Amino acid sequence: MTVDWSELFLRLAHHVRLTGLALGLGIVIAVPLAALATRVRWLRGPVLGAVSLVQTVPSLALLALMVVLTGRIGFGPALIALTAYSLLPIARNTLTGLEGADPAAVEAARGLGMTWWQTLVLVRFPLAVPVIVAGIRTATVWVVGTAVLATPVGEVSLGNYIFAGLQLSKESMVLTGVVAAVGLALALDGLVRMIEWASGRRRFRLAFLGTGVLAGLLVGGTTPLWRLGSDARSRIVVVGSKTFTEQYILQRVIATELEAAGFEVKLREGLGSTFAFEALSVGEIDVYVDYSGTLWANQVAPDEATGGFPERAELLRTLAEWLDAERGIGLVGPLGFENTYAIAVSPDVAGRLGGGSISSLASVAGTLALGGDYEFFDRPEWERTRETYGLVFDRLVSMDSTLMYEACASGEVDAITAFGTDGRLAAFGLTVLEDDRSAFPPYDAVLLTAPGTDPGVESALSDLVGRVPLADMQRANAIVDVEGGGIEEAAEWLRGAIRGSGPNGRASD
Amino acid sequence: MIVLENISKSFDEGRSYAVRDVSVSVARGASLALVGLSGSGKTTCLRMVNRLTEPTSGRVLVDGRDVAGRDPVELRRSIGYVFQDVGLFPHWTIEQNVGAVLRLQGWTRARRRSRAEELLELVGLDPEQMGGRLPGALSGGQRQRVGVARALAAEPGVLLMDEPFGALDPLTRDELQGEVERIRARTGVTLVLVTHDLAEAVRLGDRVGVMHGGRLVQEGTPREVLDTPADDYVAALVAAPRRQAALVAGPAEPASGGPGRHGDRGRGGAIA
Repeated sequence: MTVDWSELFLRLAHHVRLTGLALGLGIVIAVPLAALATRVRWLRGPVLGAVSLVQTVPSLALLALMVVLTGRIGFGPALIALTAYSLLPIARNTLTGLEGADPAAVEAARGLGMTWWQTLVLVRFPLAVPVIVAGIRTATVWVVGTAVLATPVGEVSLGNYIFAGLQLSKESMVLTGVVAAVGLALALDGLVRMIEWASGRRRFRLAFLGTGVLAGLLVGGTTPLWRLGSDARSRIVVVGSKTFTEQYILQRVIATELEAAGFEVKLREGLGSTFAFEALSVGEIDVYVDYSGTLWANQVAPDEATGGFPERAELLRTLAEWLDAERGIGLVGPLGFENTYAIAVSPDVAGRLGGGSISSLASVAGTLALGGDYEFFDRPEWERTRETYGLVFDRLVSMDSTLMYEACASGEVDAITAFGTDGRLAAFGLTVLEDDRSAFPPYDAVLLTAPGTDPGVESALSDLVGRVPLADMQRANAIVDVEGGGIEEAAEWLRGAIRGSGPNGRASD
Repeated sequence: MIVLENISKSFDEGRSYAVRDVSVSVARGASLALVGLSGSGKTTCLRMVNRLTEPTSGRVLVDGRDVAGRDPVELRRSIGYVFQDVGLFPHWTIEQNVGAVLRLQGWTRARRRSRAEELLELVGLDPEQMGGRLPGALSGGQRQRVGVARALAAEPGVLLMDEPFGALDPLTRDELQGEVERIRARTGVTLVLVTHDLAEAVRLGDRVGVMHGGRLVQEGTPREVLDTPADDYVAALVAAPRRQAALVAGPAEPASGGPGRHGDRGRGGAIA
């Protein structure tokens, strides 16, 4: 893989901005709080307890929690979560440092007639500096590492490499993200250590230099983002994507179409399924592709999961009306293919079944393991499917969707909840069972636009409506998932297929 | 003028007393040496003078004013205090340490500096050589000299010393005791000194107070304490160093023995 330096720089800049501000805020909050706790003794327990409690929340959960609490995605909740995450080492070390400052010197300060404040500023703090700095360094390493988890909540970070790379089984991409994050952590840690070293030896010029570099990094890392954010709210279109191959490909196709129509485009990739819809609702992203059945089951009629649903065209029409009326979201149109949830089984299991339908699975399900992506077993569709067919599996296994297909083919699980468009179904020789009692709603891929989106966006994208047949989408997915091609390559192929009305069969490779 | 009036101190709400009903006074310019074992309450008495410790009952008067009614910060700045473990600020130079109280009182850097030089000379340190160093680069004796200089910086009328030379070797201790005598003569400061060393108490105290179990069991001139111990405890306290001294006092090596040389070194103090 060749490294796209401008992309790396942008993600690094986002990462630096996020971690730098989180650490800065962490210091500004934790240090005074800890200082106060040395004076107001009863604060000590609650302060340490609270920051420790934050630490026990798994970091991804903390980020997700902030999304729920703030009702937003992206920079804001990520900053809050990381700031909270940085508090413990800084607060604890500050408290330890201030309380552990040479007792003889502290007693002398008191005896000479220093006030509490003078003792704090003139004696305790300077003596505690090494311990406080050690805490800041710990926090730096933690926060830089944890910040990669900002990607799933919609903030660009070095995690974009890692998550997309995992999804696409591109080790080099994962490695790029990891190396960049580790490098950043080491660099920032080294810089902080240098400042401490220099000030401890009264080499203030060097200390100022280090502080300057740190501030410069923060400001420099932020500047391009300000420019990007400010100059053209109206002309910049943010295209979102969820966390699987098809979404990445369609995101690029949409982006290219919009660029061709003269829009400036920014990508927000790898959003969790519900984050993406919420982000669109509040206008943090402007365009993305979702699926009619997903929206129906999760947004329009989440409480009627086990009831019926309208037939395909009716569902689309009702969905479009609901989106417009309830959220002001525009449904540009269906792309032309369906990405249904489907139950697929290995050839071995297929042979043991009486027929090729989900009904035939019910009688043997008690001895089988079913694998599904992280969200499937919590989705209304699963409840509905289970009840419709009376399915009781031996066990349910949640796993990353990229791993499901291979797990099924190798017999680690007997059946999986697959995506209908996934090229790996064919590649691994899995059999898709027929949904003979219509438990799954139709999953037409639909183009959505945020409330108040420039009408030009919709017209620029109208060319895509109805132009992506299932076979083309499967082919494009297979380029990435089966053949190991890049997202760009698959997007280019798909765009070619759309332009030349219908599948034009790429020159064979 | 320092007066302790029936002061008591209990750290456990009356179950036991670290100091019990102590009354004593020190005239302006005079010195009192409190002597006793560790735990006898002598340091607690000292700390109650500048309100590092508050008495449970009784009053402390400095120059006729009850210290309980004074701002502790202002009070402490007006009283010099030398700590047992010195407590120099390790991140400040010697000069900055000496000028600490002056800094709190808002003196300019230049004035602090020239005052610090004066004080370092007073305690027998070369300002040129020592002023810019950090405390870590000094010997124990030098650090204690700096501690004395720091306590004297604001020209306090009262100097409190808490076992200032306890951790030093005998020669250095002897030398510093000489310095203190000299400083008393030069500044006329009122001194209260706490020590477990009877010889030090006798040398530096115009009057000596013996403390035992929180009580002041005898108070008088050094001569009175040495010649007419008030009870068995004081008698034992006086007898012990005499026995030890006898061990080394014999006719032993004639001519240029160690003590003689060492006496010369402490000469400056002895004259004052």
